[in-house]
Amino acid sequence: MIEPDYAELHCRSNFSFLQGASHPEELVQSAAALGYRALAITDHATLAGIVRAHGACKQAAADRADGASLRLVVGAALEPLEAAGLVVWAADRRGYTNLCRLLTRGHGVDPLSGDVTAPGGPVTGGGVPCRITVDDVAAHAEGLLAGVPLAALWDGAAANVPAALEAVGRWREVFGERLCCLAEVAREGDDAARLAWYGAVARQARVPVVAAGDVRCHVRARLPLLHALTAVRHGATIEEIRGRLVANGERHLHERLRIAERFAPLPGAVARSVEWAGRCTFTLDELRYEYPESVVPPGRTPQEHLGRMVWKGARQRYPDGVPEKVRRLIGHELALVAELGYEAYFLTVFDIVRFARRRGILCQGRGSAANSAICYCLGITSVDPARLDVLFERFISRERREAPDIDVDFEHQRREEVLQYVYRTYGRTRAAMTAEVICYRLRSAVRDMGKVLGLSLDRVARIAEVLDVADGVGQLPARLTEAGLSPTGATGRRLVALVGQLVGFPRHLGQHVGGMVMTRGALCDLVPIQPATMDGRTVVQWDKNDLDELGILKVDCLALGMLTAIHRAFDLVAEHGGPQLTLATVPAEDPEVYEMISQADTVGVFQIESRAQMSMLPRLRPRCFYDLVIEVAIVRPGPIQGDMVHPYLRRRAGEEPVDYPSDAIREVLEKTLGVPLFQEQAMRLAVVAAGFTPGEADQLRRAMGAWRRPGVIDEFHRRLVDGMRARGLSEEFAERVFNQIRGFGEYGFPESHAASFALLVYVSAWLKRHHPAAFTAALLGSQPMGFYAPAQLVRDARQHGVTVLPVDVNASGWHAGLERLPRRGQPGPAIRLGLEQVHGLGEEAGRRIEAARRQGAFRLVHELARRARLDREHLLHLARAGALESLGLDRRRAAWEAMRQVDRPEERPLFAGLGAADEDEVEADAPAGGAAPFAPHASGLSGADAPAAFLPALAARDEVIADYRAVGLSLAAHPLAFERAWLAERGVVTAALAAAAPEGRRVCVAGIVLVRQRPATASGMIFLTVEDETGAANVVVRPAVWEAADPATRRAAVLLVHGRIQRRGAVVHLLATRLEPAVPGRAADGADAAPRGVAATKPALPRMSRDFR
Amino acid sequence: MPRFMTIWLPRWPVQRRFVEQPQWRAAPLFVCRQRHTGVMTVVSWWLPPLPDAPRGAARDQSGGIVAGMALAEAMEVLARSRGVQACRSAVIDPDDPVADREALAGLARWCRRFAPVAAVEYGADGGREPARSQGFQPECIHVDVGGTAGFFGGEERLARLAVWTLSGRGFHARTAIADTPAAAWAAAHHTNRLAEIGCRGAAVSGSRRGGGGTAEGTPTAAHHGDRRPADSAVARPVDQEGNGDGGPGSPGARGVSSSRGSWPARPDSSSRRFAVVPAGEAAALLAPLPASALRLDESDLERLAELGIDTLGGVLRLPRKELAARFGTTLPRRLAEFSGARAEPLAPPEADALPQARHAWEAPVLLRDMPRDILERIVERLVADCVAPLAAAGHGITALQVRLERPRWNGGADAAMAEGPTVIDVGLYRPSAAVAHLTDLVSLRMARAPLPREIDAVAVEVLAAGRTTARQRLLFDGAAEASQAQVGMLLDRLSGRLGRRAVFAPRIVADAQPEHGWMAAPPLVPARGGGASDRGPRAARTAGERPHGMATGSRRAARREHRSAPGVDWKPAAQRRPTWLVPRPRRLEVVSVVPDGPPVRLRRQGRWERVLHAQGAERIETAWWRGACVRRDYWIVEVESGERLWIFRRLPDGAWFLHGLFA
Repeated sequence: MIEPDYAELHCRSNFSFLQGASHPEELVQSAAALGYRALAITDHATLAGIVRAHGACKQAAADRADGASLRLVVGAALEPLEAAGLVVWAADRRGYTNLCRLLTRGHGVDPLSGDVTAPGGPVTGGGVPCRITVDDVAAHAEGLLAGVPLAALWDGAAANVPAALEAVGRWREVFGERLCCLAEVAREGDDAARLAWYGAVARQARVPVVAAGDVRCHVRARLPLLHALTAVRHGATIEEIRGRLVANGERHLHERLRIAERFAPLPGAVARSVEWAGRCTFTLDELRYEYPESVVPPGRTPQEHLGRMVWKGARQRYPDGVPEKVRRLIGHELALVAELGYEAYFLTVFDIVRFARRRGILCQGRGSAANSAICYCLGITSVDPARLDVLFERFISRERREAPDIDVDFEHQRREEVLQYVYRTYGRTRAAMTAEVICYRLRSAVRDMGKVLGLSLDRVARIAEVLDVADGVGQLPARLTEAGLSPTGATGRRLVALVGQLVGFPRHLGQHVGGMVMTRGALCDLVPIQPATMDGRTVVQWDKNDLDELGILKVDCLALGMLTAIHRAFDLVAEHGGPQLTLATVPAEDPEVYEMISQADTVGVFQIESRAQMSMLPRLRPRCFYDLVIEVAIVRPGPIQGDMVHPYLRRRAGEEPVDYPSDAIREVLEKTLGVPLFQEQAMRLAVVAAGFTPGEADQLRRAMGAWRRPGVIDEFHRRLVDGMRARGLSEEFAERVFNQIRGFGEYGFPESHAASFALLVYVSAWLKRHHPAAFTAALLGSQPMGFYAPAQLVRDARQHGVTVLPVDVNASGWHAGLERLPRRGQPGPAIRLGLEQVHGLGEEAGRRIEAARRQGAFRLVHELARRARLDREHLLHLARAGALESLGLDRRRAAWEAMRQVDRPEERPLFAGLGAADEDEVEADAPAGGAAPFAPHASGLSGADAPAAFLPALAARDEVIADYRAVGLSLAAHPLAFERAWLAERGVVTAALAAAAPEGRRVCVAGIVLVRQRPATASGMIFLTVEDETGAANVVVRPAVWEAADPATRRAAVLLVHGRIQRRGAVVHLLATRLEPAVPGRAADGADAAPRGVAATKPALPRMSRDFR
Repeated sequence: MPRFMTIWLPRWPVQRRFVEQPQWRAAPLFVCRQRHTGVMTVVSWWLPPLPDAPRGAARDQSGGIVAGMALAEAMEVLARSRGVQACRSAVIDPDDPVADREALAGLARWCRRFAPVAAVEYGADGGREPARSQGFQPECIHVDVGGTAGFFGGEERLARLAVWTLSGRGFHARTAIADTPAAAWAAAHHTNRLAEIGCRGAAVSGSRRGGGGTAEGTPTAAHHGDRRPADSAVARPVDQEGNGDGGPGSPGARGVSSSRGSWPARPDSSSRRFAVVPAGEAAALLAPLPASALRLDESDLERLAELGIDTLGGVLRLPRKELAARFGTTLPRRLAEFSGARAEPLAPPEADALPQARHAWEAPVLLRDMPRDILERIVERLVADCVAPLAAAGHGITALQVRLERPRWNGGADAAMAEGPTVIDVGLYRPSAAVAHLTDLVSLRMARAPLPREIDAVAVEVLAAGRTTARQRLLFDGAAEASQAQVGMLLDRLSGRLGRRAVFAPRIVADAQPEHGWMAAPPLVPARGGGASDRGPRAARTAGERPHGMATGSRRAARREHRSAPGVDWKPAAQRRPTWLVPRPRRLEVVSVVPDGPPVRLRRQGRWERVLHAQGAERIETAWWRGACVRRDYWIVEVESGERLWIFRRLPDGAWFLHGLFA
């Protein structure tokens, strides 16, 4: 038998969530390798995976020498209500549009109005289903081909033809000649009977029968994963639903010879598959994206309008006259924009930014095309192009005709306003959010696979818990052992194998943090839209890579916590007698600020508060704004991997001569002392030193980013080195430049990006220096953000002489605020912690308390509960946080009182009208002398002021731990202060002492673990920051030492670190040689194997650590 | 002055099995329940102590096995902590809560030798709402010893005697005597701790007589008839058996329910197995015990912890009147029971209502002198006495116990006391009020039970009753009803003769691998429509309706989703399966032409036969999650003799097997 030509027309990838067990790329590659003529990716009611397949298809074509390429057919599997299932393929552009509209409608979005008609939700296999009626399909049938999988109609009885005929006939009415029947068999024992039946049905229905495979995975070996995914979909273990699993692994891509054998009884079916695939001429390359016509006043072209706006802005930016360089730049950029037709894009971003400014929402553009003079003039960025070197081509390249890209950061708590503005302006039909494909990561994969393999929830949780920051699949066996499961046992082996395959699988479609897609025509002609989880949002089915691949515009409206904090700090300063500041009016180049930064006193400051940044600051000693730009850019994986940091520092310190191979290179690198630190410098090097065009340089950068194409990168490498050699540069220099560009491929900062951030660095540092109380309060109100938890921010503020007052229902608002203390001699206002710090309280309740207090202070728990409509849980959270102290109740007494309250007062309407009487009763209840405000509430039996004798008193140490548990910080003391005696006995020194210890000294430090970090660039090194009552110590842990510690230690809240001091300049590290857990409160037997001693009866310190990769 | 003794039998399901099957003590034991989905979960378990383990190491011997865990996982854990060999030797026994309860009730009756009133503890609801206490598995027996301790030489001796005599019967018990059942319960669960804090009554330590001899937990002790004093038998096994004494931090302290599951004890404390709390001193003496000793709900314990209260004494100090507003009803009731302000009846009220009857002779009679039919006549009469009041109320018996009581000699010599009555338990599949049927069942059992040499009384007690289905006879068609009742009777008789476990109903289970295509289910006579047989599919459907990880999506949609994925939801092809499977697939020699193709000739019993017709292949690739992946191609073949065979080719090596015959 000869190998026939074949096209697989029915194939689900893993984007049919939990129904397919292979990536689209794998399917395409396999199909290409098997010599298929075409492959249709027909996911279940989604096109989310189609672009990936498209990319893989192009790649496969490029890789094949003989030119015989695989074609991708765009399609989807549909399950219309009350009709037989259907597979549809887009025959032409019209058909594609119809398919997108059909799916949009099916997901509950009206394609004409963009209104959401069905509740949204994450789309998974069992989540929001696609509801399509026969009429919907009929209305969108033009340009679509369809196939009815007959396997679904087969019920084992060969005689049952009429029912099938009816089902097929129904679709034949809709599609006419464009309908076929799909014959699919999977070795279920009755293949011959089935095929005969398929043939009979097709013949009688007068519909051609086409061979297909109902493919779920690319190779047979994925069968276990397919089983496991099915179990996940059913929410059961594999054993429980074993009867519903496919019985064999036949649903993979078969060799063509096998297909020929299989369909031998149906002559022509296999050949017809190629014919039908041939009828689908549509490819995704046909999609032409059109920029939205933005708010252009009538009578003007976008080009004119943009020009006007830019020049108008330029005059405002440069009141003293536009510098010649900028004038030239603007002209050049406008010409380029006009040539490529991107005016609408810039106007769109301009429009959004203008809206935000009007609303008083702080925003800042960065990245990509923001790096231009026109963006500066339009107010999208605040970075003056006159001071920076701008390479516009980096972002808008003629060669690639690729979408420009501007990210705009907004205050994180107000971004929603901006998004809704975009929806309003462009309408739901033309704007939607970018999707984000949420993929299985190690932990989620272990969870789901553990469950379907029948592990108990406890065990699964335990494994998930032992999994470490940044563990890969490779660490899984070791982690299983730690979790008490044998990785070589049967279950363990299966788990490891399944998880290994599952990691990286799409799990559901989420929404991208801020990417908005806008089009001129209806968006759902381009891509299906579906409702998002959040009310009032719609999401396209493609993520940002997909959009990139197809050249579709998106504007990233991102949320930046620091902008919120800065805004709030500005307000707080103004409220308390300071000036009303803006980003632009913060006094520039303040030497005190730079002095503070040089001391690495930067807790809370944007970007430069991380440990790596802090260790760089004393070495770099920034003196001006541009130094901050460099500081932001230099501590990045790109420069670190390209080995540019140390040369730069040496040159800056004057330890190394600065030389340039040529004048052209000097021009590029002069401002960074001959070391390329920014992305565009590296690319400029390629231009001036190797003769690349700017567009080629950008392609080079992108090629570096996408590692997988070895051929491409070698080509660039050769060209770069040859070009440099031809210009008389040494090969060694060329190699260095190549490595630097490679480093930038993924992780470099463009200069404008760094400059945008540097501005925020400066502003936040200025606030910290001059208004520490307002700055800290603002940071507390913008959590979670940055590197440090509230505990460290508060501690830092107190070290700077700021008074911090505890949370109290009679003083705190929802957010942290400032209070003028009556005491004289207090230099600035004090910070009053906000109710937001109270774990578990929730914003609504907090706001209610804030509002209710306006009518007077609370005196009784009872009264607080009634006026602020708090239930028992709310009161308990407040009690735990010690926020009821001003009612005269300590934590336990407050908890005792809180427990008396009703569970959910608002659900008991009987009490609604009893407010006044209730209060009288309370008044009467209070003891005669104690009616003054804040008198302790006397309940029933116990005496008035005396603490309730029946409740054990809270020891000072427990008080602190309770603080940490309920508020995340304690103003009373540091938990380790209570342990110092026995720690000292064991020879443990304080962090402050350790920091003063000489190089090489062996010390042991104990502290709360604040940060655990395992950067990708540090070859597995772990960086810990531990804190005791004297300060923080920076610990470096080698992988071997880390692995030697047991899992409990690695996750411990408090650690005892043995190690050696390493000093480099002003920076001190502790290189750990051994880690052990130290439970505070445990008596002097810290190292003994009795972890469940006395201390365990007391609540332990919660884990405070923030973990970063 | 009321005094109560609580006898705690930690991990009762395991203990019961060890007494019934002493040989099981040597290997790990898992008492498992098969959920309706077919998954086995561990209800209770026991691991034999490691021979070379230091005494303190007992804590971690379980390696993290907990009740409710899937058996497969427990095995995996066991393999990790004890090696694969331990898994192979492990005994897996199906859970039988009814038997557990009945055995404990039997033991309670046996305990009537200490005092006339002895009863099994009941759940938190006070025994009044059976629905709520469904999951409650009793492990304790309360005995009202108010007037009887003196006969045994004092409370301390009585408490010790109870431990000792139970030990003689192979049980590991802990006992305590106090003013109220609640206090005795608390003390019994914390005998070690009481000794530690110097409880006066508990000062007579179990190990004072210098024991440390043979571990009671070993299989030999109970069956050598080697009656060493209980105290010396105590010394070692307690490390493995443990109690809730581990201090508040140990798992045992978290609540009543979990203390049941915590076998490993606190290391290196010499164990005390009984305690006596002197009258009026319970509150003072038991104050240091964890609050969980009050038998509180998990939520109440959490709430107490919030107030910084973790001991029983702390709870007692709370103002009693303010508790109800803060803790609901359980805590105040438990406190009242503890202090004796509220009487805790030793047996739930319904149990009293169930009838019993007894026939006693004036002098002991030798059974061999008495014709069997006389004994049966007596039983019949007693059964009839029991049935009469029930039948009048429309009830029938579902569990019945017949006790042949042996004579007790005056003076209560220990040896004689250890011999309990011969107990015959009869369980029924549906309530019955037919005296003849019931008597029949008893006789069947009696014929097989070893009977005592002489007896002085026969007692019949109804242990459980249920409503008999009202049968209104149809004029013509009563056959279905009647036959159903007869099937029930038949089942009762069969299991009376063969044992309860030997009678089962095969049920088809959807599974691609034919050997696993059925399971043995208890034979159920459907009392009301539906019943257990359709639980499986329904449960699977409910599970499927829960969308993956999300709470969204309507039921209807999800159901549709199911129907709509034809490739995934595979229907078992029952009609293509033979009804007769050979127990183990038999090797065949087969010739086929194409590698993957149909068989052409095959050899059975040394004879080559030509294949006339072959249908297939049905390929299965399955079972990888429970063992090696099973990969086969099944063919239905018709051979020359006209027989239709079900044969398969094992895919990995191409070997052929005969697996079944079509009729």
